[in-house]
Amino acid sequence: MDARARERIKASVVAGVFLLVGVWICVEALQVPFGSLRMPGAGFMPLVLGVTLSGLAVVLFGMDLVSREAGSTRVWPDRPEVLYLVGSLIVAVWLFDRAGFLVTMALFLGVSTKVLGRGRWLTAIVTALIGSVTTYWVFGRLLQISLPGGILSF
Amino acid sequence: MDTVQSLLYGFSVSLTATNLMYCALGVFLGTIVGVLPGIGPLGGITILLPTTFGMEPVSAIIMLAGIYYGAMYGGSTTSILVNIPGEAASVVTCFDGYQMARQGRAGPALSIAAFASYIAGTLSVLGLMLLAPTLARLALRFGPPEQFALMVLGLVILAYMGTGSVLKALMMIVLGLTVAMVGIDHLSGFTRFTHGRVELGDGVSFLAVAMGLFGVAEILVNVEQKVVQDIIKPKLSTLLPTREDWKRSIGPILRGSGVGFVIGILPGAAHIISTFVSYAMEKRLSRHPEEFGTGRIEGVAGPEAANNAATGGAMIPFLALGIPSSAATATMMVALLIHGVKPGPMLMEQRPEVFWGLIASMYIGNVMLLILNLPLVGLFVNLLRVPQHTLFPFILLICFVGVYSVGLSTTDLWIMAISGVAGYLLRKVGFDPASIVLAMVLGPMMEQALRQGLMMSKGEFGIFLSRPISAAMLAVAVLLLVAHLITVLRRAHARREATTQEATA
Repeated sequence: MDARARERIKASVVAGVFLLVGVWICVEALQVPFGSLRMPGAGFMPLVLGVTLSGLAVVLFGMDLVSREAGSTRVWPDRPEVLYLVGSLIVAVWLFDRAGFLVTMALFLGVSTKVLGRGRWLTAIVTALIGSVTTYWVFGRLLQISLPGGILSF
Repeated sequence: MDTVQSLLYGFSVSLTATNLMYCALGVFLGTIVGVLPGIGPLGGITILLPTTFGMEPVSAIIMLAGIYYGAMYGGSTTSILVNIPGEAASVVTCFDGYQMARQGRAGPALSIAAFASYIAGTLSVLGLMLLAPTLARLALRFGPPEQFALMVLGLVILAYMGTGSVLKALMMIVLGLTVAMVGIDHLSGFTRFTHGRVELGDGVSFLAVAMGLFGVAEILVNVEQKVVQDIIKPKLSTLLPTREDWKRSIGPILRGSGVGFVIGILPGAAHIISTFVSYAMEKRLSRHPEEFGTGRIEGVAGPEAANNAATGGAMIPFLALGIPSSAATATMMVALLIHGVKPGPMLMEQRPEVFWGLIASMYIGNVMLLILNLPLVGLFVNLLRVPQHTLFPFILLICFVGVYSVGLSTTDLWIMAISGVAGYLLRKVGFDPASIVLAMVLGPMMEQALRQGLMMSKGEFGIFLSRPISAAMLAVAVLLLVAHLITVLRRAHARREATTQEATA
């Protein structure tokens, strides 16, 4: 398969995703009263937006179909570090309430510093400890923001 | 109060020790944001927004505005010394700025960029001061149909003036407007798109989405594009421009200021577009256009003046009409709303300390930037040596704390993470998610204006066309879309003809 064909498939998938989102918005909008033109209800604007997005997605699909340009963008990350970072971000959000701010952020800083820098573990651990404790002190103590204590509840 | 008296009042507000400190902090942080590649002014404002929650509204907006125009100053440093634009509006500065640096003229390039930014910044504040009150008085006559038409026109111009595909920009706008619909409908009390989740009752957190799209996504994109930096260190003895440099730069600076200010008022990527327009204009006016790109000082002075003047212009619709024209001013508007201050035509009457305090602080901030930027060039350049593997995790950490501190909810953290990944993927497939943020801010206002307009007319859409101001604005919006459609069709036709000719040859 040549680059142009691959690019067209990718563009069609993108347009398809937007079409699905548009249809989903319409379905959700129909769950609340549409009202009338004299007295538009809560579903009025969302339905208009859903229909507009679906229409624009169809136009995008059509334009990609007739387009003769071949692109070169890859959706999949070129470097594995992106995936590691996304993974650690998701784990950190999941852990945030459960393990608490200090433990979660120390783990997040340590792992992401190690993954991005490909350096020594010792450097990552020192960065993680100093970074998380300093941030906790600045935001939690100095600025009085209520951060979750988690397993180190104090 | 007349303008002079109001400005003096503004100076009395902004010259207090606290506000001076926040102004200095804002421009300093803005310069750092501008210097560091990967964090633009929008990302900087969003990430630092939560730190303003404990401040007085006027101090908060002074600091955020300082970050905004400070980033424009800082962006030129990396363009000139490393050939990497610190933010998108400094791309054009690379063309001649880096060439000047390679010829041993980094000092004059940096200083003319700073002086151009200062002159343009000050002139644009003058324009803002004179134009905003007039526009605000006019806006007081606007009813729901005019407000709706104005927002439609603004969003169409945003798509039209953007840097990518108009169709894709329109899709991002619709997506942003839809995100703004989540939560309780304040006119009827029904909840929309929440699926019973109480946390979403008040809507999707603007900060979480903005932080995801411009903090997290920006970092993911930058992690992928590892850059090798070859930094040129300027010699302080050759820092100042010569008389000849000034002679060649003053025209481009004044023209760039005008172009930047006017384009800045329009929605869209104004500060980026203004630099390209200014560069093209200087090249056209020059007796030696062939030398552009080889180190002409006019190629630095004009665009640098334009992107700074655009910041003043961009403040006009946001302050006078309460309708932001860019994602950065939308974020500043959210900051003011969080503090209970509603930007718009009544701002000057109801909160003169915020309006005039901000304007006066921008005069002061521009002087501070000039004083800061020239002697501290060495320090800012050294910031580029901070390794990405240290910088990026810390920025993400601040995103976490910032988002959590507002709602104390992990739902907001999930929204940030999802928006971050979505923003990264959208960029990869050619969409610019900046429009989402602006549409999110305009969404509730637009819906209210549309529904109120229809209620006023008892369901007749004609109300939007029968009132002259709204009809004119909608006509311009339609004309822009038609003009774009014609351009697209012409290009497609030309391409088809070229392919046919190739085939027959």
